[in-house]
Amino acid sequence: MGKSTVWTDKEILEAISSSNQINEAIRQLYEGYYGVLENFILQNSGNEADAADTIQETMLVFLNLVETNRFRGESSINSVLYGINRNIWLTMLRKRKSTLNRDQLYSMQEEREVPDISKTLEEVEGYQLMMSLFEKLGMKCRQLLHLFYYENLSMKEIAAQEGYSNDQIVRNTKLKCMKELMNQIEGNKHLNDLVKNALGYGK
Amino acid sequence: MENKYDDRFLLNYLDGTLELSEKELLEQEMEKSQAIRERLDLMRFTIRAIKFKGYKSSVNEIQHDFLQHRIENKSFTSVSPPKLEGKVHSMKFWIKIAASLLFLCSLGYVLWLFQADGEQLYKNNFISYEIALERGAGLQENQLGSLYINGEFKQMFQVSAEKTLEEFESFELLLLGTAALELNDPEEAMRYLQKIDSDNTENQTDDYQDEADFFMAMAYLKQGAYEQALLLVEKMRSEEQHKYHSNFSWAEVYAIHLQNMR
Repeated sequence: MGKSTVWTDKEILEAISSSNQINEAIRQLYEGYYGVLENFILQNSGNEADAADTIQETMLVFLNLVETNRFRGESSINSVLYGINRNIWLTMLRKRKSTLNRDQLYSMQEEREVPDISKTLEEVEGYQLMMSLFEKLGMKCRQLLHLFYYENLSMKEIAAQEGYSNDQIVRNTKLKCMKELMNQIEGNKHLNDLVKNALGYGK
Repeated sequence: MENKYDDRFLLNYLDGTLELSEKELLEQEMEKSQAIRERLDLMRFTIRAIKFKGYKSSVNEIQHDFLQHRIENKSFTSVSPPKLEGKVHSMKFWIKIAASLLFLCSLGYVLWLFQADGEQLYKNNFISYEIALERGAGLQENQLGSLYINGEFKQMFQVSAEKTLEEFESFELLLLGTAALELNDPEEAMRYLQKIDSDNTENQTDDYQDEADFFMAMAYLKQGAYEQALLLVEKMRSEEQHKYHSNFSWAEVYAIHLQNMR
């Protein structure tokens, strides 16, 4: 954690969008905003464990907003994170049928300009469900897809690292793995409906 | 799906490895074909889900490090209380202090006993169900087990939505029951746990009965159903071989009695 330089919003967004130094960007988000997000939960009927869970989800929703180009720095990262965190925590409170007067909670907090995250939340639900199907793929497939799409390694680098004889074999295996995953999605009615809704093809 | 634009072609497009002319042709075709657009969207969604999994493990790890670092930093920067230099206290002084502390603790405990409701007793005694290591290793193929290990409790119910209770094995019922408790839903937990109990009674088996006893007692406590909770707690305490034999102290049993009488 020890990096002392503080990145600007622009630097953080660039690192996430280009998948370059993504872990450092996430660390910057934690260093810069965890305190303020936690404070909101603690002041609104939550405890530290609630804060940890909510902030984790907030970070994932934020990363997805950037990833899908729904947030490109139109407002400050602080405002957006605060808005997502607040939205997730209020939903959580609602689910817990908290006796807290939510109207009071709404009026207590100043409104901030935040992109609409309802679609992102729907997508995140789909991703979470898809993760369980991903676990059903073989180890080699999981590793290959992770290295290519998350670590951004080239086919050649993956071939060398994972012991494939050439990059064409990696390419073919990757296609096979993707098809397997997509077949599983299409074979799971609940997930398929959820994905279609998230993509706007639902009823 | 138009043959020319098969999955390989579409994936190459998303990966940015098509020639410029091929890319332009596909983009023209996309304007006309909804099938191509839908297939591409599904692929894009799948790729994002793969990235999301990566984000999730990074965020998990970084949050863990961050909180750990914060705890360490707190203890490092905490302000030390001023030292009582040179002052030596007699043994009698320390005995008095210890006696006062003991008295305060006992008083506090008695007060707690009188006040502890089901929710507090639940919080005090709830332990998450841990899947045994040798069993966990075989769970990679079991979707519910895999989700449980990853703490994806909500998803466990989503993937099971289309199944009836009769279609689950005892172990799956236990996982769903404890997952419902993790999600603070004791009524839902009871549906699964009672099924284990009734199956065992009907078939004269003992599959996960100890676990079902314990988690049903927890669910009853959370719902304030003290009489039923008490029956199970007393059963656990009376059977020395019961896995949860020592999980409730006599004082907690007494506290449940008190709540039951109110």
